[in-house]
Amino acid sequence: MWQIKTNKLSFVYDKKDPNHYDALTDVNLEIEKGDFVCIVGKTGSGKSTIVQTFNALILPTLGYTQVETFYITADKKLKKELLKNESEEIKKTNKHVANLRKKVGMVFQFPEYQLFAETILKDVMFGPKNFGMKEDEAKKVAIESLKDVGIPESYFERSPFELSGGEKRRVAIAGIIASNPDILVLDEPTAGLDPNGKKEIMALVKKFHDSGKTIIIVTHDMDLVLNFAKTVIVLNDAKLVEVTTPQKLFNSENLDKYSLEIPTLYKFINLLKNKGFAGNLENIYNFDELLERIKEVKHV
Amino acid sequence: MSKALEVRNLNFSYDSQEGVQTIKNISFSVEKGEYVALIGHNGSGKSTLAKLLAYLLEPQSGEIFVNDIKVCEKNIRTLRETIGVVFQNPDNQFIGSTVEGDIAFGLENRAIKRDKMIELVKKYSKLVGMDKFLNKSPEELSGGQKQRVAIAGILALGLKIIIFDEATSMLDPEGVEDIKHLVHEMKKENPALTFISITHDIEEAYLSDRVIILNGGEIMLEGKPEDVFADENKITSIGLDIPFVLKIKNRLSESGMAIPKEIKTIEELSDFICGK
Amino acid sequence: MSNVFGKYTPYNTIIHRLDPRIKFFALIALMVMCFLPYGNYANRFIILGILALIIVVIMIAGKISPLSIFSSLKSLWVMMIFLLIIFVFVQQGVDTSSLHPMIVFSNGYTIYWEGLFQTLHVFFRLILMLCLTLILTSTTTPMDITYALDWYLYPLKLVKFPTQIITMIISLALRFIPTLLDESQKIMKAQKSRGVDYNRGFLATKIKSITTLIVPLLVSCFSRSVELSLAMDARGYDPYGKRTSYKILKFHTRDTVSLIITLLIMALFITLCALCVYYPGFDNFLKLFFGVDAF
Repeated sequence: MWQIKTNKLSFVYDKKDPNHYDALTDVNLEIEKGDFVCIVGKTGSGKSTIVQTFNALILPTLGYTQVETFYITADKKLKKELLKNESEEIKKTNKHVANLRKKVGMVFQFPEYQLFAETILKDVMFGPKNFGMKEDEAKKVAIESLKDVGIPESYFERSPFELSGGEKRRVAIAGIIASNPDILVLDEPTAGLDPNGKKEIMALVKKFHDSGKTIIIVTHDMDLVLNFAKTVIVLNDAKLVEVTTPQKLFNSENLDKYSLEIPTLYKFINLLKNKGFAGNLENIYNFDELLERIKEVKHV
Repeated sequence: MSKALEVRNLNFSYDSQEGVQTIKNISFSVEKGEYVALIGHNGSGKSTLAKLLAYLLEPQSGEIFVNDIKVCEKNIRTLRETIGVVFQNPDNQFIGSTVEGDIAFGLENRAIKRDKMIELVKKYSKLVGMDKFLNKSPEELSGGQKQRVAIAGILALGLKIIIFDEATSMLDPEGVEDIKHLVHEMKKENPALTFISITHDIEEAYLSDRVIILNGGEIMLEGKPEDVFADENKITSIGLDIPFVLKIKNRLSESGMAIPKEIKTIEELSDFICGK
Repeated sequence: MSNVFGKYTPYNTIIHRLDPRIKFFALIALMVMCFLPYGNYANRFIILGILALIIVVIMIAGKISPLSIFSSLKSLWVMMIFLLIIFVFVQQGVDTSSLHPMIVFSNGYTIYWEGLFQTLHVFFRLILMLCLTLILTSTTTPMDITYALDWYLYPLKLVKFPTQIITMIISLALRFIPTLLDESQKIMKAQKSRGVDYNRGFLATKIKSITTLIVPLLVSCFSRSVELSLAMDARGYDPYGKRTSYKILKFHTRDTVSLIITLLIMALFITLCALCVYYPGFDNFLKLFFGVDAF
């Protein structure tokens, strides 16, 4: 059952502004509940734009995005039409964008830049409080999510600005998951981190996914896609071009067409294929499988 | 032959972090024309080391020599004409309001005559492939293009040593490839240029002349990439990865398949495996 | 980022190509012309009208829509109404005998024509000044404005005032405006995702919402400035050192012509002003030329 759907979604940025090339044309898409989705595409393909429609930071200029019973579109007539046959309750929910933003947690690129409160705890409590939680309740969930992201209790009363880069990012993510969203959208969550930091963040995302949440990641990092994604959505020149699995994507010839970076594993497999490797190279999904195939051929 | 860089017993700690020694008694040297990769995780002291080398920070103790010039206040002018840094954030090092203005910034500081400046800006913007964008402002450029401009600014000064302080870590894959390619070209064009690349990119480090691994402000390992990465357990213990080619080589040789040491790239390895 | 009012537009008109120093000078000159005394209200409106005509011609030549000033600055209307209230309802001067009553209320309270005219007059001048500034900023790159400023600050250099530092600060500030605007958009989006609504709420909530933008923006500004200063240092910037300039301003024929035109316009308006002030009767054109009794 889909949880997020886009219907003939198009988006055009203000034409007067030459800096915005990132638009979308006629995207029809469904994202399943509990899926782990990576959205890929080169810079300017529209991938950041599409996820911002999921929590109504950007409103589709044509068509609409639907998150469960929430309709997102800039077309007021269309929205009226869509809501016409819905129940009173759904109509009411649709009036307040906060209902949607609570459901869809959005972690932007370099989320450490959103920290502002005097203490780490207060910063994490900020989201839940905005979404209507009481002070003590917000405190409870904030402490929980800080523990989830591995921030020790001794840090709670410190200023977020004293932390290291990786820690700041974890606090910022805690600030989003504290509101307990059903869907977590992350834009380049590992950008600028060292290998250790990347592993930590991804372990965190994995844990969140295991607890039944839908994860949507926008990324350039194909190793991340290969290791974590269940579904890959490929955007190219503002259009949806493929919804597939990472294995199928990296085994297909289309990668170059979309100017996507190929993970080293598949670069190597392709080289072997082109050079007439004697064994079977189809359906290899990880490093160990590749080794086995090489060993088979080389009889070692 | 004199060394491009000579570091002796270098120590440094920040005033703001009491009791934390960021750089602990580091000594190493870099030959002229060498490509050295400096790796280590965040907080290992590698960016601090870069700033010390370029005299953007004052060492607490120890000595640094750049092309035999001692790094100190007295020699600052000569130092600035010898060693340059390309920083991580493309936006925060774009000083001019246009591409040409930014390339010229360092030249203006050196009080170079205007005719000469125009000539240099033309030459080096062409070299980095930005000659078509001279009038563009930074917000019209991609991250990779901004880094190209930064490199042109350094080359125009005729610097001999260039430090890349995670210069590609904020770029998209296209930008990363772009800069890697440019560095490769520069190296080919001018073999005397010395590069020190501070990076998280293990594959890049594997193709360098020499790797230095920093951990906790100290040099943990140093040497040729194949030697440094040979100790797989030690590398992974500090949270770093092993280069792909080396990983395959190691696994295969564990199973009794000997692979020559000089094989470094996936191209070479695939040739070898396919018997070419 | 929407189209910022007064932002540089990269056209290649004659106005864009003019030397920024000339534009700077003309801007100041024409602004002063707006403020000279030209006699009675009828005179003032006629002369400001001529000035407006000149300014509109320049705007059209520089591909700036003269109407954009009204659509872009909605707050202007608020100001106009505010001014109107002040000038119309507050009695002006002690001696009201020379004023012309517009509406006389039964209790003797009088609204004078002069109040309305004064508002219009202030408003007229304000719009002309905004137009002039708009011409400068949308046809001149921030950098060129800085160069012009640097040139005008030259006399201060003679008394060892570090003008180059000031112009460097200004040019860096201008350079980072788009970057920071972009950044503030990003921060606002991130905070909106955490439930902040920048449009709603009363004062206290508003202040809180703004904090969520200002604090991260300041933090980022600081870290940017640290990195920027390192980058400048690494590239050998010495604020007190001798620097050359890559960009030099060249005076073309068109600049000389514009300068002469500007001086002629100045001469014309100063003459008009002098006539109005020193020749009795001249401060009332309509009466002088057409025999109409205006005020």
